[in-house]
Amino acid sequence: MNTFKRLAARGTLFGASPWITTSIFLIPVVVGLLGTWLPAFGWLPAIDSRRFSLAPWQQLFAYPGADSAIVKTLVTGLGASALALLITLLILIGLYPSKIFNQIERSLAPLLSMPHAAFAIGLGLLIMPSGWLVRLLATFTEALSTPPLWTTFQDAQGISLIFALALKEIPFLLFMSLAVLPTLKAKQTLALAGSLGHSKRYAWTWLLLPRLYKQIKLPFYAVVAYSLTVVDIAMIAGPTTPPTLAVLVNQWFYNPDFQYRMVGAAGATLLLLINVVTLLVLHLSEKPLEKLRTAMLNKGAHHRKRFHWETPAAIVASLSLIGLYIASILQILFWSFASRWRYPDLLPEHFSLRSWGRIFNRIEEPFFCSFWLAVLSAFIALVLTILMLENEVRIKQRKPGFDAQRSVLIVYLPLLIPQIAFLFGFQVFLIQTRLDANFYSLLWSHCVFVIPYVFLTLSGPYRKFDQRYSVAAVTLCSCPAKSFWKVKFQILLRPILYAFATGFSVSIAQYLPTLFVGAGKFSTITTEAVAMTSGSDRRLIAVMALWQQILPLIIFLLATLVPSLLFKNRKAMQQSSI
Amino acid sequence: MRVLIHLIGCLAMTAAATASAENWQSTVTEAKGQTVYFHAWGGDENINDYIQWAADEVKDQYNITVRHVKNVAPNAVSQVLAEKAAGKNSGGAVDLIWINGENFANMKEAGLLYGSFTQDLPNYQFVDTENKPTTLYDFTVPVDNLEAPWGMAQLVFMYDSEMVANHPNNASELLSFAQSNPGRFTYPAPPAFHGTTFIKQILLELGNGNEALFSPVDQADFAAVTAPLWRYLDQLHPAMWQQGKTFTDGAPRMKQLLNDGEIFISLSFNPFEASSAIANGELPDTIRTYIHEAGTIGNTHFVTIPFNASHPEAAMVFANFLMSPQAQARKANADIWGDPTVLSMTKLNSSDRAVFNALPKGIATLSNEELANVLREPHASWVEALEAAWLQRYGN
Repeated sequence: MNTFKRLAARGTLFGASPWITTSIFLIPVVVGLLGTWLPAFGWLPAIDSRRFSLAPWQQLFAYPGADSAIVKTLVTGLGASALALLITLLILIGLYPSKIFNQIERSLAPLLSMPHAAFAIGLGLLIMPSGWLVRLLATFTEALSTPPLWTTFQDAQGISLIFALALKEIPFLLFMSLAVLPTLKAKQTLALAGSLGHSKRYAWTWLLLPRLYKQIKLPFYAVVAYSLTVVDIAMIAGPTTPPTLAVLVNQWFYNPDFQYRMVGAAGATLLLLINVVTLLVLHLSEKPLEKLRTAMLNKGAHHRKRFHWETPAAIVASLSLIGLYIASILQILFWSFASRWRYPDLLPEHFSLRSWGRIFNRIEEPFFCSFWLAVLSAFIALVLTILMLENEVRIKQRKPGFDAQRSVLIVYLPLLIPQIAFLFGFQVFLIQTRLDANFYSLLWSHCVFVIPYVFLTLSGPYRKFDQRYSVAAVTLCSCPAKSFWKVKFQILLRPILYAFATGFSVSIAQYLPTLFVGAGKFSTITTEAVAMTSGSDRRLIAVMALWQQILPLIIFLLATLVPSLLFKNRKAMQQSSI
Repeated sequence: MRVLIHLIGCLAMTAAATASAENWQSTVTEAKGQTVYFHAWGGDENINDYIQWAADEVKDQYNITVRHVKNVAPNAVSQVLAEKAAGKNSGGAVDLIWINGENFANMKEAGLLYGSFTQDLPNYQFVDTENKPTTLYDFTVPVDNLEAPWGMAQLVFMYDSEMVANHPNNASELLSFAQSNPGRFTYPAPPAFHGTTFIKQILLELGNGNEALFSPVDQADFAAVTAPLWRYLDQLHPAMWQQGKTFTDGAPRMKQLLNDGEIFISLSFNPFEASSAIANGELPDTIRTYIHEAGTIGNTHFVTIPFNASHPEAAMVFANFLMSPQAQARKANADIWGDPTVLSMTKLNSSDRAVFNALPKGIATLSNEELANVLREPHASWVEALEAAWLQRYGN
């Protein structure tokens, strides 16, 4: 009887889950989009502008450097995404499966947990003309007694921005690939291809990569959208005259002249458009590429080159990746303990705990606020995502042709538009409904940005799950709940924990929602860190960056360690390299 | 105690003053137990510590809780604007904003301010409105008692005396310095505040006090007035840091570059900044400051109350405390913050004056006499026109 009730309740919960998620989403998204689109066409009652016009668009395109900013956005955004994808694939082809790869896998948690802005700052401290690498050179030559007049960071072409973004996204794409590799049966495919006389490269290029790409397509799209709209990294590592479009939009919103908010709104709309068109082109190019692949495969394999350059290249790539991260983290770490540090010293003149001490007595409240927001929003996002994906399974049983991906596209909308534009409308809505400035609204706004990441992290492996395991389990115990917890949940534990960790760190990183929706009444580690970054004291910036990293680091470590420990005595589930 | 002294001082004056003292007393009573959300830039831990100290003081003296929201003025203004758009005319989230310049002008114009209040604050009488005209005109916009003066600012140049033997004394010497030391000077790209101020400074110097700059820009022949500026910048940029192709986003970043030795001359709006940065290890002790012989642009920063503040009474009491001789003297201490006072030494009693006179100045701070040469800001309308013209030329 009880079981029946539970089942019935579960059934409605599954059915309702898309609606719950949609309403969590739909309100802020619709309100946020309207709040972006109306001002883009001249409607902004807050400043007594109540006539529709194209003036904001004219102002946008007439703004000095706007066209060049758009080009820079495309070049850096697409360049960084492509580079990140290529290097990720290179590392997979060259090193998977191998002992080195397991090492890389183990080092992913600290890389992922490093805040974007902190990584960009650390990278800058490394490669600037007065950076650590030049200081290293300066120990060998007198010619570098003052910093050289080189351009190695914030170059006008955006090359340093491309590198900073790509380096930050490679660990994410690798992490996403790890979650789906088991479902691709990569090892078996490689072995099979090898037994048929095909090289590893051949098996990867023609058999595994196309399937892998399909699995990590959504995370890759998120990378593209992120790279096109990113503000903080672009401000630290990007060009300045003009900057990228996202930075310009930000500047317009910060312009004391309220008229510029409408230009900013138009810019944000344009950025959304650029995003949608880019992703559409990527999506549409899949079919022709697939046809090409089939055609190539039918032609048969050619093995002219037997030299496996992928492996050494992948080793170089992954070593430089990890090396750059370690060096950046060390820069931040040294700065946090420095009392004074000038060019050309390789190490600070003196070390001191002063900066840590200054921050320490103010950190408790933001620390716990960040923690609870992150735990709760990641948990809510995880539960809703699992319910939605389970609902898909149920719908698929009834309607086998059901295209699950299309039905949840709305979930990704908040990722495609600059937050600053999106949030003003949402903020006005919350104030109107008197829901502003309380913790639950703040949590809600975090969920809006956390759910997309949790969904795209989990949906790939979840949809790939072989439902026959569940069917077999239900046949054995006739209890769907038990079969879910004992079988499906356990098999999917790794991606589930990865998704939670990703959601957690996304929540930790939220700045504008915390400020706008929280109306300044809640301070988190990130609002404190961003405030510090607007100042000049690198030592305090470094301390805050490390505080910002601590929580995600712990959660990512748990997400990678827990499954390995839990499945110690289950060979097939020990590593993702099954 | 201090309140009592002020109170007695007020009572001794006219009947009108008595009335205002009673009003003030009722404001203080009203403010008890209230919370002030004070939105103020939080990028400098010295300033954060100072605000924390002031918060602790008003907690003790007036039972007011001050929460420092580390937020830049445009975001705080955005919050108020959103509340206005949503029809929230009371109970707003922002009680007090650290503000000046365009942000103030726009809030004033959009009717987002609480109203005149500084005339009721007992400590306002000590403000040096006579010799510090920028306490009455914020970027030439009349303050009209809508914001309370908090501190003074003046453009100064910080330079590394180890690298620069003779610092420039005017715009043209700055250009020759840049040309003989390529890559060692830069300024933030407008519309960043320090960048706009720098080009206004150069324009004022090259224009030799051209009166047109102090009237609305549309009354002037913009191209003719600004032609010397663009000629100057055209020559300066190729000799700047990163050949003028990349700019910094503000003065904090320039301070880092000065410490790194990438640049030898930087800008600050606080004459004490170099000294306090040396004291806390952020800059080497070879840094010194100078101003140009024609003087440099100076202005005032303020705190203001939005129209829908939840606790305007407590905000007023806090604003009044920030203007008190005690708070202003602590703020002017280079070891604590080092922000010049808005008060007039002649209006203070001798013991308060003695406190100010005894303050450490720091090794890199100019004397009051050296700093006395303050240039007026051009009319506010020049800002946007200059920024637009700058972007047109160098922004793409």
